[in-house]
Amino acid sequence: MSGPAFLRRFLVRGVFWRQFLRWAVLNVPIWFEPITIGAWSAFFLLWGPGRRGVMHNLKVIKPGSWSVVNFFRCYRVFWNYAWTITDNVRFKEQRVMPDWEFAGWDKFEEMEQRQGGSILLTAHMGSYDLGAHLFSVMSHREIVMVRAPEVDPQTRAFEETQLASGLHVEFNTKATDLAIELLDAVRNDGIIAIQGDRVTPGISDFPATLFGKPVRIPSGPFALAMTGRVPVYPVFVIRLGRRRYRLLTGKAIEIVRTSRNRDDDLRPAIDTWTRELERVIGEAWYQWFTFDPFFEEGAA
Amino acid sequence: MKLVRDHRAKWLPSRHHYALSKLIAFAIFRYRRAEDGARRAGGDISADHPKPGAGPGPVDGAAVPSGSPDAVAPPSIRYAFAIDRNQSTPEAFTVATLVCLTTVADVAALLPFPLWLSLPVAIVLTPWLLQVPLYAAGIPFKNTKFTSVFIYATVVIVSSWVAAMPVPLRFVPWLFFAVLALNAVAWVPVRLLNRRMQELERECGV
Repeated sequence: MSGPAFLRRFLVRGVFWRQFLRWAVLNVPIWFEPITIGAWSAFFLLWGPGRRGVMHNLKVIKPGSWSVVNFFRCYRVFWNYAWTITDNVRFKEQRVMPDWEFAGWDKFEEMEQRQGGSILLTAHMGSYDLGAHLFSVMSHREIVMVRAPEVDPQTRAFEETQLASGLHVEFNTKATDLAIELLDAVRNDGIIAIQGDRVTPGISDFPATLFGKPVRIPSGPFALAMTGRVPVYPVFVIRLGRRRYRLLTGKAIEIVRTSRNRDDDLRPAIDTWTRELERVIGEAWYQWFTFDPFFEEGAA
Repeated sequence: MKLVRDHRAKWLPSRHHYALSKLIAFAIFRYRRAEDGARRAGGDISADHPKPGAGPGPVDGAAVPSGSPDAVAPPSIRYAFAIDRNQSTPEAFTVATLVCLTTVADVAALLPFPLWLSLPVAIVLTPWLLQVPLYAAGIPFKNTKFTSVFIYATVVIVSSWVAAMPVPLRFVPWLFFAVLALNAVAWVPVRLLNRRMQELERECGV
């Protein structure tokens, strides 16, 4: 980001909005929340790149959709995002939990009872932080949450002071060092929670197809699963409404080394993951918080 | 904060803030309990469990509610309800909508334009105008209760002015005052039913 440091804080990813959100959570009366969230979600429609990114992605998810309808769908995405980050901050500051619906409870029990660690693979949907914390409370295993650091340095510094206590968070800034730590964690029966729908700079990726378009998917979680000989569980945290979430646990994806070509072994698992990702995003597009063009044709 | 698994906890009065909504929640809880009892007596256990919310469901087909009669298939959906006095979504949205509608009517009545113009202008301006007392009280005093009272007081003062004006929109502030009065009156039965409300909580495992 360019410009003096003071003005940079007011950019969309600047620290001012994180500080404003924290102030709002602590000071806005609960009954007033829908009004503020509704108004500020509309305000952020002025953020051109984000709005265009979401509308571009919606055009791919819903082929043939009209731009004017996608504009209102974009508002719904911003509305859901605002509620999600509010719930997240409210949990960190006041330990207020939402209502939960656990779908695929048998898969969660299977993960808990099996010998060895697991990898939870999720997307930028719902509240990743809340879901990870809930898992850490429900599970007897150590949960390590991997996330990408914030782009803006001031925002990154602010967020690192706001991490929820009781949760082990690692930032994927140094891929090689982190991979060794994560492998160690799964070999010690730990659970790694990681988002598998977005590639950040420096992260190894793999070609895949989503909604018929070529995309790149992080290959790290699958390589880790193969090396650690642990399964990958698709997990999604879906916001159903105000203070109400569904934690959806999918069937385990096993990755077995059968050949000398690592890519051949990863391919079936990544295909299974992208099919599941496509299904969930297709049904809950208003939860997919991807504000940049996700599909390569839009990014170009 | 407590999380309880009993699906009936959704309508516990302790998940509501205002007296009127506590009373309504109490009535709904009792009505659903009576309905569940009648259905159980008729042999239908599906009444015991809430329908899953809309949105993506489990991977392997239809969700099986907990308590399914199928002993072989494990239940794959579980619920957890948070017990917090601000948890109720219908309450939060009803209050916000009422205050917003009242303010829209007030602003539309006070604008010097014909109604067909003042209403849309009021709808756009209201969410931002309502934030003026929010920041005026919230920034210096940092007390949520005081801020809430300050915003309400502002709306009441402006609504009192509009309610006395000879305009059709005056009925909206009158509706607002009626709800406020109803809520004040509802405190009496809520106080009287306090023990019975606590029994419901014990029933749900709180």
